[in-house]
Amino acid sequence: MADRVFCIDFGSAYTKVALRRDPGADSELLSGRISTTAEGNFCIPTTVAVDRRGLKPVPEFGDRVATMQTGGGIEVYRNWKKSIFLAHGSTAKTHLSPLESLLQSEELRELATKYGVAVGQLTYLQHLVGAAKNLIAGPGGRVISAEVQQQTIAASLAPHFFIWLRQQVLEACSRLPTTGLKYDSIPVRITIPAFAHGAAIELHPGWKILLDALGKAGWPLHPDNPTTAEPYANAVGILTKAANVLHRGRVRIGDMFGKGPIITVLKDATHHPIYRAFVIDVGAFTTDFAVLTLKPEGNNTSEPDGNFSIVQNSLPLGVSDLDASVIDALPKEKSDWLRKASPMEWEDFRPAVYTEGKGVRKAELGVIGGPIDAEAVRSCLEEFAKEIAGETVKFLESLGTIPSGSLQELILTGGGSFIPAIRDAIQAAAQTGGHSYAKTHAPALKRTSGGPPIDKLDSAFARGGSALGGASIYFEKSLY
Amino acid sequence: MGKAKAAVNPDELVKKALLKIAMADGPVRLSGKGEDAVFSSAAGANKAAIASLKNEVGPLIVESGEGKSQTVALTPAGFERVADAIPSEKIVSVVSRLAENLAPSARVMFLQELVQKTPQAISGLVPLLEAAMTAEKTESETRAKEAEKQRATEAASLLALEKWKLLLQERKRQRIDALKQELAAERAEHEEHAALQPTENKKLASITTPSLAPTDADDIGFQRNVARRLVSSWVDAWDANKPDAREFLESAIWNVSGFRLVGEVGQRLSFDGRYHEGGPGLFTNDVVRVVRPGWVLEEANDHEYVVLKAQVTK
Repeated sequence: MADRVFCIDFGSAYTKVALRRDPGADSELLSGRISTTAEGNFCIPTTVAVDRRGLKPVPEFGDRVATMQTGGGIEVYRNWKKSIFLAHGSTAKTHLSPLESLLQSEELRELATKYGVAVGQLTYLQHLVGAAKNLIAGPGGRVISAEVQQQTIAASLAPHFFIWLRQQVLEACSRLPTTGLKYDSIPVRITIPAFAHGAAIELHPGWKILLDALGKAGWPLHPDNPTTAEPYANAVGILTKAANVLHRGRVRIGDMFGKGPIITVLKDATHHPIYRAFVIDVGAFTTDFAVLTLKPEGNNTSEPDGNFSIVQNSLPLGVSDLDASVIDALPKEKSDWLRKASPMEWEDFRPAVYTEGKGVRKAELGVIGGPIDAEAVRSCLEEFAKEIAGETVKFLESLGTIPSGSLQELILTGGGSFIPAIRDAIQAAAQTGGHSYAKTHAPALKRTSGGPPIDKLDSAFARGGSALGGASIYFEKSLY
Repeated sequence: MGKAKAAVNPDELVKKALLKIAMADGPVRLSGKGEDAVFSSAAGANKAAIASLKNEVGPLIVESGEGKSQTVALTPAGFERVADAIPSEKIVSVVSRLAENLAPSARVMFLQELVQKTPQAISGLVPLLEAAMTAEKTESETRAKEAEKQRATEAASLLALEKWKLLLQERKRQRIDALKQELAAERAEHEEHAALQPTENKKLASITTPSLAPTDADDIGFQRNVARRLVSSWVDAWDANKPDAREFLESAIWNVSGFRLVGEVGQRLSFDGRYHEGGPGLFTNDVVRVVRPGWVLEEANDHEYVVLKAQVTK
């Protein structure tokens, strides 16, 4: 077990890190001193850029590269996390052909320098050979898919990213009230997609890539469970509200979960045979569905973790796809403006158009996404919401029915769940087939008189729930 | 085997095109048939050259008109690129054409820089400098008259900002009242009239004390939203090249506690992606020049929120 732990929620668009300073201290999100996004100070862009203009590639990360553009010898990598979890065998080196090894060797670089060959030309040659290899299998070579290449790149970016992230985290810790803690010796846990979570987790290449990268970055790993599933951590973070409660050195599950449905099921499995948390995270690039099912054995309230099972599905559809469809649907001059819009302008555009329907007013163009464009925007929102709702129904149907008396909670997180049309569509879809929820947790929910209980999530929980939950004492089994 | 076609150097094409525009006696078109066209077609090697000429970050030419009657002229950057190759007897006429499109102050600066680079053309440039200075004087007189008008508008704006601050404080007070009511409702009867603990008193005191740097997540979000709105209008005025409107907004934003400008136009600095943005090919510590400042909002606990990154170029 670990008295203290960092938890990294390694997201496709943003990475969040939480800290549990002491066994009984609430988990807290760590934030940087400078924020370039309205998402929250704790959201760190999972973006890496590499400067390949010199002899040695130079990486840069996070806020400094969030708005950089690829070109002129600079390569910018966004949404590279998905490549880590591609279901392919091994890492890059084993796939290198002799020709590629030669082209990537230090010796060739030295020779190129000696003969005055520009680095850019050498890089171009490498790309040319890589591209040709994708198309044909040459003599003595094997075809490498684009996916494997992406995974290779992602695997090489990961250690650099985590080295940098560790520096940011330790810097953030140095600004915390002085406690005398040695933050650099606190172990880390990382959340991973639920499909990679399970008995044979060690065999998943993504798991290995991440843990290797953390090791290379100098993070001590949590001794018992260095990883946990994203939706599981998300649910724990939201249901416990990041609280860690100990009494005489033992975890107080009842106090942590606020005596909610999960506790009811744990205490009375006869009448409430199953507890389910249906977690839907609508992110920038993906929408993740997960159901956590708890089937207690007897009246065992001591350690629920062992009785939880997880089913997950990840859909490559996120708010960035909605943005793209709205760009295409608007009149040309407005879509041209949106194509060039800065992150600041997008941060204003999304709530003003997707939530308020009011649009943003620009002196030269008038109102963009307002009443005049309402039909186009509504159609995009409906199409997007319909697709996610359809997937929600499909996912629920694949799980079958649940016994009567079972208790379910619905948890909606991620940037997409702030958009009413999407949130409403998911809530409605989640009720098909007679499913009902003892409580719904989502941002911007409104309580209706006589309606079921709701938990209105603020930005910290809607976006940082996984990091907060992953740092929970809930995962320290020896304290039960 | 056919003879290989000699590779065309795009830089050479760009330079030739700029010279042709500079030396032309009448209006010239960018591409098409005829003597008045810079390129015979916009395809092949010409395509890259045209892209360089129109480069969004530092355009070398400026287009005017539409369709087939669209013509092109040099920008100061385009002129600078070929200034050395223009015969001295043509410099004055080229500069006259170029200066016509510049604002008086920019025209004076441009001529001053030019004289340093081409001292042999100084006698021909004197009349241009005189005309530019006269225009600059007229403009500054007009501005002085408008300044009075603007001061009155600014005073109204400051009044509105004061009201905004008061509304924020009022909102805070309302929330605290609501919280107190909730607290009272949550507690049992015997606790209803219990005095607040010293720490709670201290907390409430710090909340009710008017502060322009909110620490509460809702208030921070509200302040950031307002900041983005103001800066968004400022950047619109900048893009539309409306200096008067921009000046008015800039004064208003400047006066809001916590706001500060990032960079000054023309300033050379090291690229930092947290505060600066530009086209492709920019990386940390590259030396860049500011073409449009940015805005940063200083928040509580030494936090900074970058509302708008400064636009830079190499």
